[in-house]
Amino acid sequence: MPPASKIQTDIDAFVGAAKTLSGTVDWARGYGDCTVGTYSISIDGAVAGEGAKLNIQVRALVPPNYTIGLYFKDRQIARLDVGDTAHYNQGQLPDGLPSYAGRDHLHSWGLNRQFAAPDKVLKLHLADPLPASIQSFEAAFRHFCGLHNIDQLPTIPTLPAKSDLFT
Amino acid sequence: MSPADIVKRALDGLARVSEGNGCVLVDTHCIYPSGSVVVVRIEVGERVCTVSDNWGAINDIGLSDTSKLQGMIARKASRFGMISANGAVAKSLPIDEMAAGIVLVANASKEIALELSNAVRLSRRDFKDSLRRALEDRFNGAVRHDVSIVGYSGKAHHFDNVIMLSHRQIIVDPVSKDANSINGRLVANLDVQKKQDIRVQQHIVFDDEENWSGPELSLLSVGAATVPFSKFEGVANSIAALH
Repeated sequence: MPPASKIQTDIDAFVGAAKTLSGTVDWARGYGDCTVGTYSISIDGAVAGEGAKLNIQVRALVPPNYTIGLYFKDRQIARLDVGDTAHYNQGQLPDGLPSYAGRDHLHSWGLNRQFAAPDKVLKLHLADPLPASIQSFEAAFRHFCGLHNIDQLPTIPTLPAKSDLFT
Repeated sequence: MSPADIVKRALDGLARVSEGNGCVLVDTHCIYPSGSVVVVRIEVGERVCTVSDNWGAINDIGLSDTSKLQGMIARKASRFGMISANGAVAKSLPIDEMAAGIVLVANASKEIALELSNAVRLSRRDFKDSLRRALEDRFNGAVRHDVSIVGYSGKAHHFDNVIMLSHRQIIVDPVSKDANSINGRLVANLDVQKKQDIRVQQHIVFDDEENWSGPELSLLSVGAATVPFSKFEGVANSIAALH
């Protein structure tokens, strides 16, 4: 295994740090019919710099489609997708990772760490299917946050009502 | 069930068609560089339909701020005979050409995402500038930049930073991870080293945010003592002790 690069160790440190979400989420229009809510992230009580944020994108479809993304150093470093877009894992796969990750899947930092490079966007090539036990947004949000050390959530956000989504 | 039936059945599951808000979403057989399926969005009019990539290419890049990508996508989309509005790649065409539109838009979106992911470079620290500023902060007026030092061959070599102490010159030479920079700094340092001037001390500093290979670092160490930028402070302390 090659030695860890600086960008990998920087993101490792960010992911490993105990983080909290700051403030409340404000919903705004994203691309097309997407509604986007963004949280800033704090570490040790101070707002984390380097573009650290967590965002939630929701599409007004039935059943609801959403993604939860974690960002650091201008790149998306982890993402959970539900309902919207199927994902295929390509290339040499770690043991046990299926070629088809399904529509509900998780691109964790741990699984995609190997693809981080200093000046390139991070391609989240690999995804695990979401466990079948995760059926609600709240469960998915808790799972994603727990896996990336985002603790002490002020409150679990709820997805906006369909009538409040941008369409 | 015949083999053809089995294959048809397997393919049936691939192209899901679902209804969105005033549109129809279709999973295609294309995948983005990340591995996500290209989903096209179709708005069906009386005679004309508009097929778009549902912002799939721009979302596949995984950038925190995608606003600057819209212009790049628009230029690339026109190359594929498509239009782009607000970051989506789209094509309008007669309804009886809808299937072709789905194939064309999906493949164009996939190609655009691939080109963008190769083209986009995130800003990185300018480590040469950071090193220069760190030296100025630490050694104040003792640091000179773009200094010429004559090597064993008689050729003058330029060095970014030289710390001028009373009886010594300390070369602090940054190197980038590309063949030209490595070769250039290696030749300059070897030529100066060959003079065996005990008043000259040499350091090559490399940016350890980049993935250097073992052989590359071994090669650099032939020219001078190599120091990762993140560990330079320790070397600066040793130099300061000589001050």
